[in-house]
Order: sequence, then structure tokens, then C-alpha cells
Amino acid sequence: LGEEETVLAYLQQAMLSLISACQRLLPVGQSHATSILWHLKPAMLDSAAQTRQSLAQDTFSFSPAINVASMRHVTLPIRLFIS
Amino acid sequence: MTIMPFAIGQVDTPPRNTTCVRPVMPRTHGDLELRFVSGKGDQATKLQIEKQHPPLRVVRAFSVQDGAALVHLHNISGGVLGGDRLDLTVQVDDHAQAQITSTGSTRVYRHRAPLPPAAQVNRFTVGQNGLLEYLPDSIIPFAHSRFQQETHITLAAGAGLFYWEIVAPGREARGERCLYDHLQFKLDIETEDRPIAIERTRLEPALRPLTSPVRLGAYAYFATLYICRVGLPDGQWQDLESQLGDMALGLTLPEHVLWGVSTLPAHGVVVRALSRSSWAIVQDIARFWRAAKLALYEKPAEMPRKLY
Repeated sequence: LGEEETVLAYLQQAMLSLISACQRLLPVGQSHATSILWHLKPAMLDSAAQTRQSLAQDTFSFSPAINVASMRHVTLPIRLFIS
Repeated sequence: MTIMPFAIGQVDTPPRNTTCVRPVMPRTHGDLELRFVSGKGDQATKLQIEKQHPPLRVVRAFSVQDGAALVHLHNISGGVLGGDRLDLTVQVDDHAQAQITSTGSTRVYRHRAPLPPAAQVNRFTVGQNGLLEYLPDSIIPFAHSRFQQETHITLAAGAGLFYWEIVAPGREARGERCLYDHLQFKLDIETEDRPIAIERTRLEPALRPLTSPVRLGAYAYFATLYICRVGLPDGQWQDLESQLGDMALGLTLPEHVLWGVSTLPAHGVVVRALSRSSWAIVQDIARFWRAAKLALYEKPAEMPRKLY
């Protein structure tokens, strides 16, 4: 796969897994989930295009609440979606 | 003190009235270079001040019980003024032990147009089997402040690091909460063969509210503690992650403070916290440091004294 296809495939898969989590947590049906994913495509294309012009050293992120939640999730006695 | 005249290329807005010329605003460049040298035999680590340009200043080193040299970083201008540039370079030689703290919180004052954002650049190098403990007070960004910090840490074989960073939302007693314009942190921790932590944080609350559930949510303070010692086996880090993870669960009070712990790709663990108040972070981040130092070095850790 080329670089662009790889980035787009990653974004598609990442969005799909988040939407899948939403389906389990919220009243979101199959059609609605597919619609959400379809409407996210322009945003994914835009994000992929932005990454082509930015260096890894200058890419910023700040999501400490997710970081801490992820750290804590590993040791929780009950996990989301455990089967 | 080095006063640098403001470069023409950095002017955003030219003066409108040439008959009323505003004075050129000075930009202060503080520069502090410290070297910690291992004492011979059982002697304590010695401090050598290689360079010292105000407002950054160190008066002297104090011996700590475990043989480390403790120094207090002073900013004699009382805080980071808009446009200031501060360079801090620390070299910890092989087998030397350094403990660095501040004399108080770092106050970042309101931005002074047309100066660039205030900037601090930290370069820390730890030699073989050396140890650096960087334990400053919190950073308090005032309303409309602009501050950029870059920290580069290089660890040799066997080198150890305890590094924390605590960021306040502003002067809460004045009702300031995340009213700063721009706060940026870049952190790189690397060993001789690979990077082990890279952080790029840019906060612009007016553009991207920090109250988002993925950012700070209902919390106001955030903190990070890096614990590293190059060369230890992965299993030891997993054990430490488990030990500190239990501590994190015990110290977490969901309405007030959250703690989390995770291993790095190699050679260390990271502890993160979100809190509604400063006291929980300031008090408890030291507990993680103490527990980790005991586990990694079999030595007790005492909070650096501020008064002598």
C-alpha cells in the first residue's frame, strides 16, 4: 500500500472502531452507523491531506483525559464490552 | 544580563505615529549552564556553574543524604516576562546525582506585544549511571500569557531520571482559569539508541476549549511524572507499573483527582494526573516519586528543602 492509502485505511479503521463502540453504548443502529462513517469521509480526506504537509516533530496533541482513562482501564475489574 | 533589542523582522504592527516613538522593548535572555560532577569515593556530587546570566540563577548546592547535590533554580525577575528567552542546560556526569527544584511556582506573565512568546529551552544530559531528579514547582500561566517550553533529555547507559511537570490553569484566586493565549510544551527523552518519550502539547483555550471531555473535562490541573532508568529489564518496569498502578487506584478520587500509570516503550514508566485542585497533585506526585525511587534505587526520597 502507498503512504496515502495506508493513512486513509488507518483513519477508516479507527473511525469504524469508535462508531462500533458508540453502537454498543448509545441507541445507534446499523444504518445510522454507516451514515456516520460515510459523512466522516471528507474529514478523513482532509486530515490525511494535512498530515502530508506536517512533520511528526510539529504534530501536537493534548488528550490527557483519554490517556488517564486508558491507563486506568487496564486495571479495572470490569471492562467495557467484555464477553 | 543580556538585553537583546527586538529584531525588526519580529514586529507584527509597525508604529502608527513616528512623532511618538514607543521605546524598544528589551527581550531578556537568561542562560544557566550547570554541571554536576561525581565526587571521588564516597564524596557527594559537586556542582559547577559553567554559565550564569540572569534572570536565571543558582546560589549554591546543598548535599542531600543520598549523596546528590540539590540546587534551587531562581528566576530573579520573579517570573517569566512576556518575550523572555530562558536557556537551562544541565550536564550530570557519569555516576553523579543531581536534584533540581525551584524556589516557587513559575509565574508566566501576560504577553507583551510585539515580542514573541516567552520561551524556555531545557537541555538535560545524564551520563552513565548518573541520576537527575528534576522536581520543580508548578507552572502558572497568567491571563493572556504566551509560553513555549522545549525540553530535551538524553540518558546514557544506566542513567536515571525523575522528571515532573505540573501545570496550573492560572491564578485561580483571581478567578483566572485557562485564560492564557498559548501554552506549548515539547518534550523528548532519548537514550543512546532510541527515543523513549515524545510529547507535543499546544494549548490554545480560546480556539480549543480545555473543558472538552477528551482534554481536561471538569479538571483544571494536569501533571506528568517520568521515571526512567536505562537498561533495566522490561519485567521490572511491568512490576513497577503494577505497583504504582495500585497506588494510582488508591489515590484516585473521581470527583477530585485521577491518576494513571503506564510503561514507556522501554526504560521507564509515566504517571499522569488530572485534578480540580493543586493540593492533590503536589502532595501525591511525590508519593509516586518516593515509591519509584525506593523500588529502583533502594533509597528513600525526601522532598527538596526550600528553606535553609
